[in-house]
Amino acid sequence: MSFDLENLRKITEWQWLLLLAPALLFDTTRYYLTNFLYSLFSLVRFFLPKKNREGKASSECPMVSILLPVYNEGPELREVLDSILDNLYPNFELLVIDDASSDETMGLCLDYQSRGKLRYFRKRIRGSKPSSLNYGLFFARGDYILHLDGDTRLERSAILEMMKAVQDPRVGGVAGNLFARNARQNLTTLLQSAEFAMTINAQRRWLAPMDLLQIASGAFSLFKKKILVRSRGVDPEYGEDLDITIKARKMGARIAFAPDAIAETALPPTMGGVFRQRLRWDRCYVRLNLRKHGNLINLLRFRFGDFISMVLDFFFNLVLLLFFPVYLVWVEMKIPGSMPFILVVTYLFYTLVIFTQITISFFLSPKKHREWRWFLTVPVYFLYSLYLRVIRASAYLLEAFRSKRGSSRFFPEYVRSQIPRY
Amino acid sequence: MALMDLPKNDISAGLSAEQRELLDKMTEPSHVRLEPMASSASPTGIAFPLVNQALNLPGGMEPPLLDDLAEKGLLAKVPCDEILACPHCRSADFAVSENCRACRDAFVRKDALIHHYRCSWIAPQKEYEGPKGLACPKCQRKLDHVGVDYDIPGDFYQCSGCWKKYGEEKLTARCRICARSFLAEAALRLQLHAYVLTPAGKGLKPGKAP
Repeated sequence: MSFDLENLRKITEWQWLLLLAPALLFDTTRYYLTNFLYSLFSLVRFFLPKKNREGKASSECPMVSILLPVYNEGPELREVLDSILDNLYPNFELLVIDDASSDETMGLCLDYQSRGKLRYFRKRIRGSKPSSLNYGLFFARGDYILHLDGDTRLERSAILEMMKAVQDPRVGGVAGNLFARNARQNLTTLLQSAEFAMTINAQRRWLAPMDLLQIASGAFSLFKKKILVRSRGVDPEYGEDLDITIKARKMGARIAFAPDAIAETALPPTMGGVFRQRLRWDRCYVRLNLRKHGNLINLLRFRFGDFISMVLDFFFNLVLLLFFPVYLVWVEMKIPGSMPFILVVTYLFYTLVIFTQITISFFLSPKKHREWRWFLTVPVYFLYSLYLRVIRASAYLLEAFRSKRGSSRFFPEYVRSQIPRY
Repeated sequence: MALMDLPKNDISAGLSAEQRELLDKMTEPSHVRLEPMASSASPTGIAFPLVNQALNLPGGMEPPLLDDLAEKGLLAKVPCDEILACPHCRSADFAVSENCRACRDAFVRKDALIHHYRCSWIAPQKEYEGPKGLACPKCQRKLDHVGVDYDIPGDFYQCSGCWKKYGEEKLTARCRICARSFLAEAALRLQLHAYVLTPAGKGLKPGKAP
């Protein structure tokens, strides 16, 4: 029996559900409604009196210690340092921790230090980024610690906005709003930039108030020093940012999101680069959540929301992905000739969802960072999303078999060989 | 028209008595090359002892005199050394001390920082020391071998007065000439030059006034 429009009329309600299942079950769907509701909420808030919209600014300006771990950052570091030093927040110190760079980093930092702009610490032996962060923590004088990456450029009001968000006594850490600084470089960076706008700029606005924000990116995040001291700094992980966020949440602290604290970061310009970066992040997500901090699923001790988030991630990213081909074959057998129809419907539905999401993210973004080119990614975003999902599934599988971890670019071999494997 | 292109008589006319005497002296084998030296007696921190002796000049007067001759093309500047100098007055005469930048107190505590590979913890060596050798205060594991279990990425200094911690940025310097303090790494790097006669300088009869 061939599958054409004539046959559509003969399909029962149950069979319709079967055909549309992939579209309705896709990961994005679960974010779709919440993003839409948040947009409505933002619109209502826009018309509220201004005092309700302003973050709570503290009358005092406690000292913020900015930790900037660097390793062979090259001449671009000057731009990063200038963007930090140009900040509007009046009380901060910048600690640059050099992981024994072999390029011009040292000369550049000494030049800034000689003008009293920063405190420069050069490690004699290369350690790793986590050890640099702990090195900086040891010397930090502020009660608030800002973690930055060597290629993160801050906007002038970024620290001020982070500090507004951390005034809530329940909050232990704040995630900043990250945008791509090389969005227009090529399609790969444009896709990632659109993804950042949707997953960071838009989703985190509602994830944080619901206490579901599970990561404050190491590229731009702020923590209360007491949290970092209590957890004894960060651990040697590829995703030390996720690790410290989980630890802070286990201590009962909330992670806030500061949408107006904006920083720009460079994204990998090739799909190979995306693969390596995401596989590292995803393996870390799986390893930390399921192994190292496996006790998070103890519902009596920790949050129910975290448990649900992990189960959903596992279900959407691994179970659904692996069963999708099996499902297609099964439906093809039940309703012959339906496979192209399912694929087309799924694609169209997903693309519609992405278009809506990008539209929402576009309007939620600050004017300066709105990128109309994000809309150009709509037709191909489905493939990019599939690519990311394959990486996430690979991460689950690699971690399930405890496969050896990737490159030693982030850890010298003598350190890597000592890191415990969870 | 550049000085080099002027007739010899015109060059000689622009010279002071000291400059003429110096050029004359430099034809002697002992004065062929004028070397600079660090000197606390000179306000610039640099002295040319041969020039001082030959002309009986007070310290600090000779560099402008020599530079003037070099500009006229009679002496050539030969790079010979690099020294650190005060960023405020360019004097090389300053004292370096390990004082706290905040309260000027002397440091009392210096310790090595230990980096434990296994947990990335960084702390002073004292915190690692226990009855059975080194043990990590974060993960309680024993540290046996440097380079295998841990390394020492740097030192730290702690002020006895305000307890502030410093890394290698501890050194401050105080200029003996202008009495101002500055960070040791902020010191100017000055290129020093020796002076030798150029062919034009050799050809001049400087002893006689035109």
